[in-house]
Parts: sequence; C-alpha cells; structure tokens
Amino acid sequence: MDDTLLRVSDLKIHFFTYRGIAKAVDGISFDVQRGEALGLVGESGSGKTVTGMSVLQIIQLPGKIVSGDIVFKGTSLVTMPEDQARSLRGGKITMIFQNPRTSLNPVLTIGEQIDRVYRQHTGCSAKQTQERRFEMLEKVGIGDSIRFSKNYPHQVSGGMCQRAMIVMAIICEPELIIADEPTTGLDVTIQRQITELLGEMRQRINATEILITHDLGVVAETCDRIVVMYAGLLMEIATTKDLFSRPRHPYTIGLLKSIPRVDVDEEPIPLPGYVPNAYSRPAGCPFHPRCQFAEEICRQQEPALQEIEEGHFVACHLVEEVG
Amino acid sequence: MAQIKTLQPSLFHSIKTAFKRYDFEFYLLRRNPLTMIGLVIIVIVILLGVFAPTIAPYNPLDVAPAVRLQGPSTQHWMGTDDYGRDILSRVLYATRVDLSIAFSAVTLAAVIGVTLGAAAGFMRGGTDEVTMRLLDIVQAFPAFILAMGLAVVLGSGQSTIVYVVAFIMIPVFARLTRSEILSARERGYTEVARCMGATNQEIVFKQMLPNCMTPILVQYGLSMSYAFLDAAALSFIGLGVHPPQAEWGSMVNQGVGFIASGQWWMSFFPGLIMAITILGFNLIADGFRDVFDPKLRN
Amino acid sequence: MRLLLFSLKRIILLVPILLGISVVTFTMTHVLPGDPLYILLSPYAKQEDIQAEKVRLGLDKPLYVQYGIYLENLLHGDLGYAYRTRRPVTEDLKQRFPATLEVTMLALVLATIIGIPLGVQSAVKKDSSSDHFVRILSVGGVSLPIFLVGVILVYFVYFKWHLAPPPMGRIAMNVPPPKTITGLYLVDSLLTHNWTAFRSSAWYIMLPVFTLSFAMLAPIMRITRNSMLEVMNTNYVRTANAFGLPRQTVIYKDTLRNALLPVITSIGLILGWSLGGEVLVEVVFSWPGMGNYAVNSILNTDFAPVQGFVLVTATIYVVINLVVDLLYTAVDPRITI
Repeated sequence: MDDTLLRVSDLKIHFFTYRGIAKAVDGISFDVQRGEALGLVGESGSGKTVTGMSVLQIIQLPGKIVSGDIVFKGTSLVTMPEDQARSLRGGKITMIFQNPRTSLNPVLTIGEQIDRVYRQHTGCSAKQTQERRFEMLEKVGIGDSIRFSKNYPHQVSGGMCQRAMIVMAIICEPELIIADEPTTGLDVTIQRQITELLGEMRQRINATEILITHDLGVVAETCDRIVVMYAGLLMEIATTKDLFSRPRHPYTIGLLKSIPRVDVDEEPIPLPGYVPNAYSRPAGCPFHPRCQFAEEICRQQEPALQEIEEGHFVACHLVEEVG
Repeated sequence: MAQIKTLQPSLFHSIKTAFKRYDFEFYLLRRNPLTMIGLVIIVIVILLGVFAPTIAPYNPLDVAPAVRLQGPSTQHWMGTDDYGRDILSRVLYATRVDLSIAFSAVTLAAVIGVTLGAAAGFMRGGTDEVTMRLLDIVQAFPAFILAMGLAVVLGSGQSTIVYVVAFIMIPVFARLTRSEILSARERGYTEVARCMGATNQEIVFKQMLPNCMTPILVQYGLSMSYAFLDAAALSFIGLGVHPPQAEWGSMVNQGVGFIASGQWWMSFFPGLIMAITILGFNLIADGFRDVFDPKLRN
Repeated sequence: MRLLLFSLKRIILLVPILLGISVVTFTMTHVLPGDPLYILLSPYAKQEDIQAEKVRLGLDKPLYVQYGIYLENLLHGDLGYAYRTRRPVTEDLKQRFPATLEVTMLALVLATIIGIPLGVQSAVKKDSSSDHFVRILSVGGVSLPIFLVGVILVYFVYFKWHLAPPPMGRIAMNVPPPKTITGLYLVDSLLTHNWTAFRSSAWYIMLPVFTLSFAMLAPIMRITRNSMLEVMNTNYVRTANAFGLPRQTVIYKDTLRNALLPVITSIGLILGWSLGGEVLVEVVFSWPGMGNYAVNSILNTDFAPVQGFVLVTATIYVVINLVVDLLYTAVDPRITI
C-alpha cells in the first residue's frame, strides 16, 4: 500500500545572484514514507539544507524553485498559496535548525517563543498553552521548566536551546519533522543526548522525519533509509542496512572509506578533491572529477537513478562494474 | 628557508595590495548605475575646480557696482551678487577652494587616524588605553561644535578650517583602523608572519592594513561628504574662508539676506553645486559599501 | 534595582569624561596659540578690565593653577562674562536654552515618527518604488547641507507661497509670549490655555523644525532600513517564518524588535550631530537659541560665550549618550549589568 507522506519530483532550486546562477538542487526525486526516518546525507554544498527548506517553502530570494514539485499528502506544496503554506508550517510540517542559539529570537523569552507557536496553530488559551508547554519541556528533560521558560536564549546552553527548539517542533504534533543538522555545533556528549531525544520524541507522536546531516554515524543509528546527495543531485538511495553493507555508488563507497569505523579493520582514506562550486558544476556526472572509475560517458552524460535492487537506487553509469 | 622579499613597507604598498585583491568587486561597482553617476559627478566637479581659472568668464574678485544684484542672464549665467561679481566665476573658484579643503582635511585625518588606530590596535596595552581615552574625550563633543570652538581660537581662514575639520574626523579613522587591526590579530596570521621573520612594520603594512583598506577607503569617501558640509557650515557662520574669497558656504551666507526680497540666485547656485558634489561622493561611498560590506550582501 | 546600580556606575564614569571636556575647553582658551585675553575679552575692553581679568583668571600663574581656577569657576557655574550682552554667560545660556530645546526635541520626535516606519517599509518592500523613494530621500537628506535646506524652505514656503512667517523669531511681534513655566512656548501656551500664543508659536517654529527634522530623517531612515535588512537575514527570523507565524508578527516581534536596537544606539549619535545642525538652523531662522547666541558672539569677537557654549553642549551630549546607553541596556536582555 502506498503510504507516501511526501513525494519530491525532479526538484530544481536555483539561486540567481550577480555571480551567476547557483544550481543548488538540480533535479532530485525521492519519496518519504509515513512513519519512517529518512536520512538526507551529503557534504556542505550538496544542496541538502536547501532541499529541506524547500519543503517548508521558505526559500528566499535570490533562490527560487524553478521546476519540479513537492507533494505532501497529495497536495502540491510548490503551488500552494502562501497563507495555506503558513498554516502548515509549524503545525503539520516543522523544522529544527542547526545553531539553535542563533535560531531563537534573542529578545523574547523561551517560554514566549514556544507559546506563540502553539497558540498560532491551536488557538488555545494562555493557560492551556502554558500547561502544554510545561508538559513538553519536562518530556525533553528540562528540570525547572518554570525558570527555563523565563530565560532568554543567550542565558542557556546550546543543548538546552536545541531542546527548546525540539519542543517547538513537536508541540503541535506534526506529521513531518525536518531536522537540519540538529546536533552540529553542540558538544559531543550533548549531541548524543539530542539525537536520542529526537528519536524518542518522534516515535512518541508517530511522526515522520527527514534528518539532514553530513554525519554518517548519526544516520546509521537513527534512520531507516538514506538518500545520498552530491552537488545538487542524488547519488544513491537505500535502506541503512543496505547502504552500509553494500554501497554501490563510488561517492558513497568513498565516503564510507573516509570515516573511521569499528566494524572494518582499515585505515580511513579521505576522498581526493573538493566539492564543486554550485555555480560551476562539472558536466555529466558531478562526481566524475573525483571518481577513480570515471570513464568517458561519465564526463558527458548525467546518470539517472536506477533501481538495481529492491529499494536500492544508484545514479552511476558504471554501477555494474563498481563494488 | 626562503628569504622574504621586502619592498619598503608603506601605506602606499598597503593600498596597492588591497586594490589587486578586489577585481571582482570593482567589476560590480562598474555595473551599479548610481555609483557610476557618482563617479561622473565627482570627475566633472574636480575638472571644473582644476580648470576654473581657464573656464571662468570673469575674475571672481572683480567688483562691478553697475551690474549688481542681477538675476541669471546671458552675460552672467548665474547672475551677480551685491558687489556685481559674477556668481558663476565665483562658484567655479569656490569649487577649487572647497575641493582642496576637503581633500586636505580628509587625507590629513586619514593618515593621522589610521596611524593612531594601527598603533593602538597593534601594540595594545598602555598605548591603546591612552589613545582610546583621548579619542573618547574628543568624541564627547558634538563634532561641529568642537570645530566651531577650535576655529574661533585658531582664527578663521582656510588652513584653520583644514586643521579643524581634519581634527574632528580623526577619531572615526582611528577607531575603524583599530577595530580592523584587532580582528586581524585575532585571525592569527600575525603569529605566522612573525615566525617567518617579518618585522613589526612589515606585519602591519603588508599583512594587516591591506585587509583593512576597504573600510578605510569607504570611510574616506563618506568623510569627504562630511568635510564639505563642515567646511561650508563653518564658513556659513563666518568662521571660514574670508570674503571676498569665494567659498560655497560663505557665498550662501552672503545670499541669505537677499532671499527675503526674492533674489535667490546668490545662495542657490553655490548651494546647488555643493549639494551635487556631496551627492556624488555619497553615491560612490554607498556603492562601495554595498559591494564591500559583507553584512549587506544577499 | 540592578539597573539603578548600573546607572550609578555609569554616572560615576561620567566624571573623567566631563573633566576631560573641561581640559579641552581650557586648552582651547589658555594653551593654544592666541592670546587668551584676546579670546576671552572684547578688543574694546578697557585697560583696567583687562588687568582685572588677568588677575581673575590667574594668567600670570602656572598652567595647572589656571586650570584649577577654571575648574573651580565651572563648579560654581561661572562660565565667564559676555561683553556683548553685559551678562554672565551662564545666564545668557540659561535664558536661551528652552528655545534650542524646543526645536531639537520636536525635530527628533517628528523625524522618528516619520523615519522609522518609512525605514521599515523600505526594508520590507525592498527594491519596490517606495523603497527607492525612501532611499532617494535619504541620500538627499544627507547630501543637502542643513543651512541650504533652511534657505530653500524660507525662499519657497515663506517668500513664494506665503505659508510661513518671516524667519525672525519664536512668535509674532504683536503676540506676547506665554507666561514662562518651562520656557518652551508651545508647552507654556498649552498649560496656560493661551491659544493665540500657541498658534503663533507653532506657526513660527514650523520651518525650523522641518529643516532640522529633514536632516535627522535621512540617517534615521537609513539606519532603520539597514538594520531591518540585516535582521531579516538572521536565523531567528527564518525560524519564526518556518513555524508559520503570521507575517505581521514576524515583522514586528521578531524583525523590528531586534532591528530597533542599533537604531536606539544611533539616536545618541544623531542627536549629537543635530546639536551642530541646530546651530545652523538657528542662524538661518534668527532663532533666539544658544547656537545663534554663540554665532553672534563670534561675529562680535566676544569669545567667552563661545567656549561656554561648547562646554555646555558637550555636557548635554554626554548626558544624552548616557541616557541612550541606559535605555539600550534596559531594552536588550543580552546586556548583562
């Protein structure tokens, strides 16, 4: 049965600046099934954050969705009128950002900021909102929620801010949560806490999650399926198990080789070269300049995503020979 | 280890290095129509000032009582003042005077201010504290009013205006340079340069200042506008250039008394040229800022 | 409570600055080249007066003693003697202070009420026609010298269109000024229900206020606009939008609340700069304020009033900056006391 919550079809997002056109996302398609945790993985500049923001339709000029569609429960988000989109944001679809400290308004108390999201989407009274807020703060492990609510963002640590953001993101029981590098920039011990908390909360309200990150370790633990992005295009889509045990795209293979692993007895080998600039992506397969298997066809033609096994998609001309 | 090739490090060197790094930004500047208009205005005004003796139809000091208080006509495009002097010629010569006052004042302020600021930012400690307190005290005064007080004491005249206007602009350059040097220090490449054997002088002039040049140059442009305004205002209240020498502010002042009787041209034309010149510098400074200020970029 | 302690701390820190100001004004008269006697006395002063002044100022004594005398005089409110008006400078300034205050305050209020909303509008509707209008107005306001604006207004509004009175004072010659309570004609006439005086004073203060206001408008609009643009690009505004808050809320509670903070800081600077502009306005409109007093003294080679004026305005400026600082501290929760 098709339980697709979100479907992205041939999405292209370009930024029109005085330096030229930056093709941040240049034709990606994937689905998100209800209830799953999808990992959107890529290095900086791969277009993953832009993709996440486009679901919420908060891409600002000079960026534009130039073509493609994002369909949420059967309704197109791209063509949705603004006020309708606004009622979805924070309600049915929410986003958690990185750098929680800078993502909160510095002149409002944390309590105020959580409250207004809740009241906007539910219209509850002040008292009801407050009760709900205390309830949620406790669930995310905030001890003194009264005091915490009166604090300003700069008065609490990054980890605490992120907990507050998590509350904001789940307080209206959304169907889809997009988490953009929620643990980047936090202390390592806190990172673990937040990752676990997020997973726990998500399961409690039965929400679907898209986790955007560059950290393969995190997706290994928390995600059901993984989408690998590079230079605005998709390289590989697979279940977590399949991706880590049988990666088929040279980029994925290279990525996995470049991180230290406990289950494999080898030295990490970093990927040669650099991520291409969004203004000047190489022709053909975007990865070909760094790929050890690259051949003529890779330089000329952009590979399409092929389903090589059930649920395992790869965009590589030479997928048969590789791996 | 290779020897570091050294040119005699200097302010000039800093400026040259800075220019080389910003090819793209200069290209952007050229594409902005307002900035280009500003540039055209400034060039025209400078040319007018430089060639005033050649272009001016009359001697600006020639008194001709027979033709006094005449409105614009074919013989006197901008009319005559109450002494019969040709306003156009006076405006041209005034442009010379004001341009030289402004350039001298801002350059003086920039050189002194940047040096002070670099010294304070680089050497820190006592030098920094003392410099900052001194700047605090100077900036505790409303700038124009301090200029008035100083001009009164030093006696009116063109060189006084230059010194006084320069003086009130020094703190801005000093603070700007100081904060740029401080953030350059934080970036740590001074340590690297020092390890490679660079002298203090080299570090300041070859490494740090070129990076600061952009905000300093933007400030230079902005300060030109203020210099014109302050110099003209000081002359307007009688502290500046002496009549009968022509200067924008004093010409406007001379014409004020005649406005009430409808003789507008004596104040209007010098005011117009002044406003256009200042506008030109503002447009350029704005254009520079829009391109070089990272905070305002999209 | 902590704000009070902080204020006290800052007030105490004022003292060195005020001392510094007095040193500067002292230096201007006693140390810089130029005969202090010439500076402080009219060239028409009689020999006995010159001698008396010499002794009074202690000009034959070492510099630090002179400064001590100067400081002592200051603390007693003695700013010297104005030969032109034959009165102590302090009294002259006190008498003219309300006239200056009235114009400056009204101009600030007008400039803020118009400038901030226009700046906000300009940022929110960036690159629209209203944005371009605001930017042109800004550039014009910064490029046109204040005295020129005043002169233009006088020519058109008074001379050509007869919509303003002749630039000759605070109130019509045939209308007696209202009873002095604050010295501010508008306030006093309202307090005493003197409608004739109110109408007349409002009529006369109109152009000076517009002139000064126009000059203040430009920086206020521009700073508001730039601040708004900067804040609009922050992460927290993005968050507010991402959580579906209504546009108006995001503009006011998130963007404007934060954007106004740098504007508040700038108000102090703008006011300081307008103290200078006020002098020019008073000259153009023959407005009987402190600035005009100082300029007239210059023209009459009576220099003691000028130094007194410089000292007083500097002190006022320092106090204004302190108030602005305290205001900012009270409003921004990030500032720890």
